Amino acid sequence: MIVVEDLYKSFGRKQVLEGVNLRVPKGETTAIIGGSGSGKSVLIKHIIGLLFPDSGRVLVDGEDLCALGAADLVRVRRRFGMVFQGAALFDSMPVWQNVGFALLQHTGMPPDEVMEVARERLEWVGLSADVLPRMPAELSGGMRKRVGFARAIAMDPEILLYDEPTTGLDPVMSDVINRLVRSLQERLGVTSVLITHDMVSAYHVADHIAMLYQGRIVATGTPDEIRSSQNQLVRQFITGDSEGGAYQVR
Amino acid sequence: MGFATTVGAVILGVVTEVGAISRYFFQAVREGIRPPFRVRDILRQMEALGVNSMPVVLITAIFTGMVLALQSFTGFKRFNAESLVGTVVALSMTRELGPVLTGLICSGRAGASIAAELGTMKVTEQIDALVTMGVSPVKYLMVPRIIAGVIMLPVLTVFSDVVGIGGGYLVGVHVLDANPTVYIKRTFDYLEISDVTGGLMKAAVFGGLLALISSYKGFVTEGGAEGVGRATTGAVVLSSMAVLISNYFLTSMISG
Repeated sequence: MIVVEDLYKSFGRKQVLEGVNLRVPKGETTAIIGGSGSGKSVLIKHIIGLLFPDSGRVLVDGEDLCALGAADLVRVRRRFGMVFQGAALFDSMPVWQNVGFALLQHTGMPPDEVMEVARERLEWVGLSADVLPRMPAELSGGMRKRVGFARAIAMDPEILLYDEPTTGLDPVMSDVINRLVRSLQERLGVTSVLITHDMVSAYHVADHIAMLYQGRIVATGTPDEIRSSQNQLVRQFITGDSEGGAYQVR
Repeated sequence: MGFATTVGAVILGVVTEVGAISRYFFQAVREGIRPPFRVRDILRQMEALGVNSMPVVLITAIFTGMVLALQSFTGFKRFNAESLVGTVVALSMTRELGPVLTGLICSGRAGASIAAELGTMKVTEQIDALVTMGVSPVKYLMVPRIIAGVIMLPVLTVFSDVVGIGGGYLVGVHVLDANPTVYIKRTFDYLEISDVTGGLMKAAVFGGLLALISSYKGFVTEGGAEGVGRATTGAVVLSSMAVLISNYFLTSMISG
């Protein structure tokens, strides 16, 4: 269980998070939806301890990330896998080293075994062993994203974070990615947090949806509850209505 | 009031930046002395920072030695001290020009390359990815570059000294018609081992400084391609300033 309590964060004079409260149930997928600049990426970076709040707490199974020392923070982070928006693959390494990076760094596993794990994880995300020796620059956007997925699950994480996994992909590739999120959830039984502004993706993969608006969670519920919500902010966002009056673009 | 505010802001900016760089330095020392020691990464950086800078360092050194011989000959001729050209070239190259020019060239070439590479990694979230996988970016990216700088700048400086003195010899003997035997004798008559080692110590500090500053500039990059451009320019300017300013204090310490 991940619990976010009364989280505040500002950058200079810009207040990004203004008292976020959120509970992410264990073993389920929670999608955080919200427009550009609503603070989604900042929130997910707090959940994995890449950013620290001005006030408030992030608890991962009861451990307050803000109160941990460096070594404990590394220990907790290793329970996570994170899929970045642009994949964030290491340009200087072939695909197999990207996927097996954490194994090579932390386990002392010989390279041929790492290669085998990489091959298996790539197979899970629908990529063949042909891509193992290729460099990230030689891959298409969808392939890079899937290699990013394979890297995130290489160490068998308990919690998976997805930062806008379908952004920049065509509708068919977005569907491939949505199915992948769902299949990894079913296969690994992990707790997942997905941030997105793609409602198709949110409805497809999430057990729970929370909407972030101007630094606060303004609505939570199951996909069906969100779909039928009478909250004006939610209605405007999910229907993509820029002139409904309640939702302000900033 | 406006002037005072501006001066205050500049001073505050400088102090903040020096403080941030110092914090990275101490973190790099703390993490650098702890295993695992990434020998392969260090060797790769030694190649990138040192071996690949060799051609431009050598070309700069040979022409500097040649110009130095020409200029000192013109000046010394006025009081019949032409025979000291070799001495002046050797002392200038080993004590000052070898390490400082190598430091400045590497600030431009290697410093820009380090800041651009790490800055790109920062804006494409590769550095965040390292952190999420439990790997310290300081240990993984900064420490090998600092060690490579500390090792390779003195190596480059040795080559720079030798080639610069050789350039001076070429001009002294083949253009200015100095006697080769006398030129070589004068070159080494007044050259002491401490002249060379002092220069190499300075070079080691320059190498560490430029790698530290350029890595720092890469780590704090923000704002996409434009941010990477700013980080690269900032790294070159700050590294060059650090080489020139620290040179005075190092020289006064070594000479004193």
